[in-house]
Amino acid sequence: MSEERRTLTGIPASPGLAIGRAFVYNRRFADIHQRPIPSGNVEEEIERFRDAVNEALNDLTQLQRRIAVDIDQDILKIFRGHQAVLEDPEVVDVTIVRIRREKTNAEYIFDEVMRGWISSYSSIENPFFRERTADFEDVHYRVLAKLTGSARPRIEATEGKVVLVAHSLSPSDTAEINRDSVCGFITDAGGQTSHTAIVARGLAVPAVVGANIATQEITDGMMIIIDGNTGMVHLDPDPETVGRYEETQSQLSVLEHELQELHDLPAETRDGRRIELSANIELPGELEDVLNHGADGIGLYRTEFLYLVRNELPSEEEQTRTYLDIARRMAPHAVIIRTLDLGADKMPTQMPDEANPALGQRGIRLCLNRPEMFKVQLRAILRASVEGNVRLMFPMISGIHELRRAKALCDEARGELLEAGIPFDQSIPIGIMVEIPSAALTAHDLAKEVDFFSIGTNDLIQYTVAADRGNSSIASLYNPCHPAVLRLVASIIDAAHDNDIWVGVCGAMAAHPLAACILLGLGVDELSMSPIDIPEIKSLIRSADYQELKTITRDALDLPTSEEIMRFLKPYQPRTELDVSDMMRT
Amino acid sequence: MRPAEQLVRTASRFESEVTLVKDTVPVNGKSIMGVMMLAAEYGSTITVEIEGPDETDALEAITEMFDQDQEA
Repeated sequence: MSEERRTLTGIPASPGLAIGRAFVYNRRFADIHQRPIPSGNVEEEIERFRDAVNEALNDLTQLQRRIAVDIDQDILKIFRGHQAVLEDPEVVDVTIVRIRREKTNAEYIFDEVMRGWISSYSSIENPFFRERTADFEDVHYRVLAKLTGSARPRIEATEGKVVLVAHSLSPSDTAEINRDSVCGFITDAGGQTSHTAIVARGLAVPAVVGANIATQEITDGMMIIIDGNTGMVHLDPDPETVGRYEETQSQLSVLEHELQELHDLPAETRDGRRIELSANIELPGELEDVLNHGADGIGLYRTEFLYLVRNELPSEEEQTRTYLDIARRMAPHAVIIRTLDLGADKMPTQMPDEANPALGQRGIRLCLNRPEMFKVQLRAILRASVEGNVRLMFPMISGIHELRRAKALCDEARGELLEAGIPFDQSIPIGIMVEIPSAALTAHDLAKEVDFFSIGTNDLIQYTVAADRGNSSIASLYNPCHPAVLRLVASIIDAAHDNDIWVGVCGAMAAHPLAACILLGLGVDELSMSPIDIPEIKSLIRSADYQELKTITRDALDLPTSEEIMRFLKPYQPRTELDVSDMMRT
Repeated sequence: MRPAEQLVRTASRFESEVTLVKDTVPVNGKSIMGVMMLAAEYGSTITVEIEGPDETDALEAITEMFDQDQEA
């Protein structure tokens, strides 16, 4: 057998390795046959259908109750969605009308109605809506099972741990699975946001989805290896491959154990300087990752996603719900919500094209230009602040005028909430991103009017050296250790501390080990980065000596080139207790 | 998702038939499946037809809902 036939590649949906025997899971139903119903029995048939729907609704309520205790809010929502389908007149009433009119059995008509909906949704381009067909199929089968009396195959019946292989797993399937008997999932269908992926991550079970032909290639009892980090699936592997994976598996569990230990330790240098290590996020779905990686909070929640998913502006209610959800889940840790930072070119309502969007109407400029839209977001953030751990941050502030105008709009939003009697945190900290050289150079003035700074190094570097980091022909100019950049950063940090406010860094620089040492030495109070980078930087900080870094970084700033700065500092970069970077990224 | 749910909930409060029409395709305004399908392809004009004993009230409620959504 050739090597290709022995592996499949899918989408990695939940990390980790699993080795086990396959259990191929298929929903099996007695074929649905068309059967005429005598006129006198039609109402009885309708009653049978109603009963099936009610039983299905009841089951869903029961499932929600069971799940509420141990899985996830997201899954609850899925089942509420299923109930909505069973309350939809275009599903239930239409089936009843057709049973009566066509004098045909309930399962046949219901099957036709549901297939019609599923095929309409299958052709929708938007993947979010297209993936709803999995929900509809789930409801479809649930009701058919009631009508035909067929049961779902029980996964619990199998011996030992199995790798579950299925075309797709409905939320009901996954919720009803006995977790002690499954060590991994493979599905033909699905993407990273599919239910299987969500559930697998929730259960911390490795999963590969979108493997296309898994159910055709894999037979019951076949030995399977799943690599949930790469999406690779080995079918019937030779003993050497199994041995190799078993070894990696045990290394990973050691690493995981070490990471877990690190998880609960503070980001504190050997000589006792404590740094806040927080996470940058874009989606509420990333929170799990944030918590797993031991972050002290959210240093940057980018709200752009809310504005980009649809061709309409998100409502105040929707935003409030999203922000509240994040604030609650992160409590008592702080959550810094950054107001919209989009260019005019990306806004749902089209605006005139700009020749140079990076220097155009973006971030706070756009928001100040559209005060009504901006106030919707400000009110939503303020409403979420009622949780007590929310901080508000403005992006792209270039000077004091913009800051004052933004704060004035924020005051208007406060006034509106007060008038409406809606509670919020009256002392919500307000800060700015310092990412434009003009703001960096006037940081002393700005610091007097805000509660914190967060240095956005990505833009600060780009605007300081006038080089687009996405442009490969000038990429070498984009250098975090450019003396101009470091001196600006140092002056921002000093301005903040002179005015008794705290200052963080939320750009890529914070996650770069050498740069993080420099920032640490310059006295930064917080570093915010992708959750995945937190363990490495935490480990670095825990190995560092703050007093030593403080002295030598100030000396390094006087050097004229980035090469000299790096060469000078490299020997002081601490060797970490735990070098996770390589393993985490393989 | 949200606006679709909201519309269905509002429409379902009334006895009148509420029909959304997009590109001559009519959809029952009380059906989450139908409304969600229209919502999936945002950006086109949708006509709302309301017919029944409480059509005036229904129109008012639905218009108000859209206005609020617009503003927000």
